[in-house]
Amino acid sequence: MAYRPTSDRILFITATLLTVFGLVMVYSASSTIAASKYGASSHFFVRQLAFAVAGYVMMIALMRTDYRVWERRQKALWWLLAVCLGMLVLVFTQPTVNGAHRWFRYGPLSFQPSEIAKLAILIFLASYLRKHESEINDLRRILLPCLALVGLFACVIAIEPDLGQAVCVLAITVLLLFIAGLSWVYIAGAALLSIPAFYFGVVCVPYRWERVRVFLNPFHDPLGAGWNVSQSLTAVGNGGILGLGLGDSRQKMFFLPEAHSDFIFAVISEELGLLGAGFVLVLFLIFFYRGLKITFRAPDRFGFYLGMGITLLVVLQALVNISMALSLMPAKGIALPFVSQGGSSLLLNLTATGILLNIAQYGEDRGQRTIQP
Amino acid sequence: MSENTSKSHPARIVTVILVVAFWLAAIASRLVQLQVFQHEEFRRISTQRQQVTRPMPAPRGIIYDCRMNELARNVPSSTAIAEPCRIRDVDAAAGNLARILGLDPTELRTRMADPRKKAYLVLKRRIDPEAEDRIAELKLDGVYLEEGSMRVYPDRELACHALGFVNMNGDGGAGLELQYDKELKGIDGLASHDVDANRRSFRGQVLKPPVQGHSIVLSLDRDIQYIAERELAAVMDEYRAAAATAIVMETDTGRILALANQPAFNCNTYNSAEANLWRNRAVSDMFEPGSTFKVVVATYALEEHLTRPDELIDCQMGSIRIGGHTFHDVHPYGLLTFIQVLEKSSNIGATKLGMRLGQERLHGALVKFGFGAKTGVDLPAEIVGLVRNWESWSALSIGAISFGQEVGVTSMQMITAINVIANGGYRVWPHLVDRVIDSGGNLVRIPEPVKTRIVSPETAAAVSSAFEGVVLRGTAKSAGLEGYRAAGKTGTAQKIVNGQYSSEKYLSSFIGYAPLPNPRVTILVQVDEPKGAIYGGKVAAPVFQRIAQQALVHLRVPPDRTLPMPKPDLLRLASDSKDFIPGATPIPPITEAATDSGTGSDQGAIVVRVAEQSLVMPDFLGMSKRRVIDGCLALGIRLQSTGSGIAVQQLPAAGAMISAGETCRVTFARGSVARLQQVTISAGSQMAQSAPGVSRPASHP
Repeated sequence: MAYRPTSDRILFITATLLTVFGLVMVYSASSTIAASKYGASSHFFVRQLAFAVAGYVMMIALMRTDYRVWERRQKALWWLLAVCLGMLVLVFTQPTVNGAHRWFRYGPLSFQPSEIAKLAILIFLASYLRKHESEINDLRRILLPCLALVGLFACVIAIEPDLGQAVCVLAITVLLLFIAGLSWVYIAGAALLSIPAFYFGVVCVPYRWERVRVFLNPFHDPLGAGWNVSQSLTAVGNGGILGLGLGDSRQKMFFLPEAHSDFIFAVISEELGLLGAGFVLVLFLIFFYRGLKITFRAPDRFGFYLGMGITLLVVLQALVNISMALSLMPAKGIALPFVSQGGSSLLLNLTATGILLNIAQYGEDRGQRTIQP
Repeated sequence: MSENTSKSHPARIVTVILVVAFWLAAIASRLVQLQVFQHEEFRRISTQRQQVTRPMPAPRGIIYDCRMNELARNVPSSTAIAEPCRIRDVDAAAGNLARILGLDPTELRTRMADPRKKAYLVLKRRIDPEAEDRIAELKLDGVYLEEGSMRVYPDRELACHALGFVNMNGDGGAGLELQYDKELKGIDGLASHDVDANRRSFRGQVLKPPVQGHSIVLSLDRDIQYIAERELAAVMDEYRAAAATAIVMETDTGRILALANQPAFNCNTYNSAEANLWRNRAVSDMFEPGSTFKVVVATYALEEHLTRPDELIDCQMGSIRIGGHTFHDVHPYGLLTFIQVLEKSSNIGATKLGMRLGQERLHGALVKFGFGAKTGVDLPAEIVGLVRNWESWSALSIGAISFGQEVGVTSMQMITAINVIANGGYRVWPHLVDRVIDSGGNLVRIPEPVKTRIVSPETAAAVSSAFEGVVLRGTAKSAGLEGYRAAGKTGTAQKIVNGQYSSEKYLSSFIGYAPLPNPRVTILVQVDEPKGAIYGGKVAAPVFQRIAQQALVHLRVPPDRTLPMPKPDLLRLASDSKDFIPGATPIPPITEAATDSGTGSDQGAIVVRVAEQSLVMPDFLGMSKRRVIDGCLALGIRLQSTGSGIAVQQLPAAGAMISAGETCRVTFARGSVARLQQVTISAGSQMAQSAPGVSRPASHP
């Protein structure tokens, strides 16, 4: 294992491009609503910028910290999990915002503990899978404890309520278990279990079922339940190939709710057209490619699972968010990584990228640098 | 694959990669579908939602009086609009809005719940700037302000029946606003707005700019109008009358200088007045003219050479029998000259003249004088009156009509008819609008004046001398003016109540003109149902006197030098006094509340008029030095005289304004020099005395 002081430049540049592009788009999408709500058009932008700076500090710090420290110091990992769970419980003491306890507020800043919990669980899973990779199908001794811990986190997050993050935690866990070789039997069992879960969790909860119906026919009730999705589709469609021009979105004039966070992709598509939307897709594709490359070169199984988890977490969130904006999936509150307004999400995505970049530094050189005959 | 990756399940990793790849491909194709193939469709949807075309209301033209005072103008005002379907908490919003707008909360809640008004509800028009700010502070989604403009009449009641009003839709509702609606209105423009989800415009583009309506300049004189209204109000009060009307017309042209009815209403708040008050009695009400009508019969008999001014007519001691019915005079008379018949207003004399004309010619006379047809005055709702065709007259009609019964006429018709005598035989077209101008002040059109000779100058002069006799010796001595010669005819008509001539309800009138020999104004005064006194000479003639006296000074008509010098305060401009037009509000009233208040003295600045009291310079030419000195002493002006004999030159010229204490220079001369100079100079001063904008024929028979 050769130590490589230089990291993956392309991944670093990709994350930076996404972050900078995100800052520009957050300003564009949020200035009107910020001016009307807070009296300052840069309200969201300034906060996002502060978190970006903090994120880069974290990213560079973790880039220079051997990722294996998480593996070596199991105690620290458990403490991290305990703190995360504590924060997730404590967040219930916070006043509700939009009917949910999701954020700690301190002055002008707010922090979402579920974001850091996602990363903590990834580290836990990577460490757990490295140890128990071969026994993964041992239901009682290995699988259930792992699922119980993850399930506990997911439950607490779901009660906030923040179903999007909870599903995210569960999905990334299932994916990593799948890659680790989870038996098809369990997968089939989980699929069967999810049917009643879907029924009681979605069909029986009117507002969620409404979202599914809207997804199936977004223009059925464009002024009511279908408002968000139809406005988003209108924004994307109206953008055309070249877009209306940066800053010229019309849908952000209060038509699109959450134009600067959940539906920022719609604003990008409207202002910069197919080219801008394609640019974002390509950046995430590069992120996916470089992330996998780092993962496959990781010097150990811990690095492999951690890299895989971070890469998939970022890319899948991006895909889900974009699919929502394009009405390929029912609307759910998932941010577009690096781009959407939301400080904790940006901070944690940059931190995770820092870990990924650190893994890259220990990557095995498989001859790309050697001269081919 | 390296050693560590080979431990895992390559097929599963490939599966995950394939899923992600497939997902990315799905997203890419969805983007192409939406942004390339369905782009047009979404652009249409978005334009529909985000762009609205809204009319840009054209500013309405201004109404000016003859001295370019604004009688009607526009001020900006907002309308509060709600889209109840977009308001989250309608109840709370209604409560807040009701408090700000001063509306009833319960009623507003009901209105906001109306399903038909879900997307557009006018909360309140003409809201004041403070309420505008407070509504903006509420930041309520679905409540916004629409900029607009509202019509304001700074003088409120002044000339309300002539001006009329503009209704809520922006259309003229009455008076000149209705008559000239097309010209005043202008052409609305069109603007395309980019709107946000709250329908607020954040970017606008003018597609078609609005074109301001034309303005109209009236012959109406705001000051004379005010004098007329003030005097009418006084007479209404004095005699507890039901209504009163006055018209001041320029004798030669038919230009109406004042048209007043009492009771009046405030044009700004026309809606809170009874609709009954909007009616312009001067053109929309019909009455039996009574003795004033004798003039028409007598004049036409004279014109047809059926009598002579000095002919003696036997008035049969007060009774005559026609068609089995006996008519009476108020006072029995024996032999009266033609002139005396008019002066004394003898029914019998008039009947006899009517009978000389015969039915057909009498009917023809009525038509010629303009009865039974609209005068064509530029006001809406004019009626034709009632003149039956002579073939359907009864045997006694000829008698009744001769002294003003069995016919229905309007005030406008009456003043136009009597004006024929005043101006030497012409029927003129009464009108209120002098010219139509565009927003840049350029002339658009001038209404074509109409002037038709009806009777010869000699006939008019003969009848006019009878009218002067009415004022000097007859029934209307109280109409006599100081410093001017006046002429006129009284009328006292019984009103018909339930088909019977009433013994209590009368219409007292006086129509006169001044100054002789070249009258400038013809004035009609009519008092409906006076109590305490009924005769035109008692009730209406003094009103004529007061209006004429002030109006002539106002028009800078120099006093007649052959008459005793009037008292100086009669030569002062009525408009110089501080309380003149007290209701005038020089600062535009913005809100309904402000226009409501009756006394405007506490609102804004007071119109600053000429500080010094100014007088009209009398015409001294031809006077002896003694009389000139007396006159100057009386007026309080200094005299600087040169020469001796009679006055042949004066500076300032007659009719000019002069303040007390100023100096006037008068040159005196004797004999033939004086006569020669006097002729040339008085011709010059004649020109100088015509007020600007008043066209006056050079000579008049």
